[in-house]
Amino acid sequence: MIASHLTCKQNFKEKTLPTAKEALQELLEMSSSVRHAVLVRGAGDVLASTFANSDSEAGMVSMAREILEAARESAGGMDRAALTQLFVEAKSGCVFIVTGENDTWLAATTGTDPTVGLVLYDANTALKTALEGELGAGGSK
Amino acid sequence: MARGRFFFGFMLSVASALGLTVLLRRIRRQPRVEMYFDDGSMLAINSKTSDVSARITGMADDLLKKVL
Repeated sequence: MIASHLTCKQNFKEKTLPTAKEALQELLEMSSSVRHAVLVRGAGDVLASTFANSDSEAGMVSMAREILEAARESAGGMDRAALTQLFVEAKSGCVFIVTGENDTWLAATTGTDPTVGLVLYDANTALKTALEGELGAGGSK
Repeated sequence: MARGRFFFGFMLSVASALGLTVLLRRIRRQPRVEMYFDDGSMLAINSKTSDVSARITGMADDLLKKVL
């Protein structure tokens, strides 16, 4: 009985705490303007991605990391607090980067004219959900 | 005569409104960077006035060309 209770509890945990991949899928469903997203730890440890092609994924991770570093560098030069979110509007679309705990960050691309506030909110939610899911999975091991 | 003046005035107002709309859209669509910080502050810089913004938007353009 205890074993079945534990299994049930584990199933409940697994159901309530989505994985990083599920969090990104949810982001794509919630924000229809989001085309691609990657969830990364550090310089290139990919936790989840919406890409089917690993070359495109690697390209996005390295370029988004460069953008984040450049923004952090310029913010550091202005004696600002830590950078938490970044929105870049370019000619062909937009790039969103949100940062989380333990050097995790989520980068997403959209077309032109997205609803900036909503995309940032959804990206933050996806990042938090993914990290909570990761913590839950780590705790249940 | 009065009708002609009214028509001219009306057309001028419509043209001004259209011009303003186009101008505002162009200003809004300029490449720009918005940074949000931990203390709740935000910094918006556009590429015409800042080298940092021009560099970052250039990098974003390269990224978008690769993935979109």
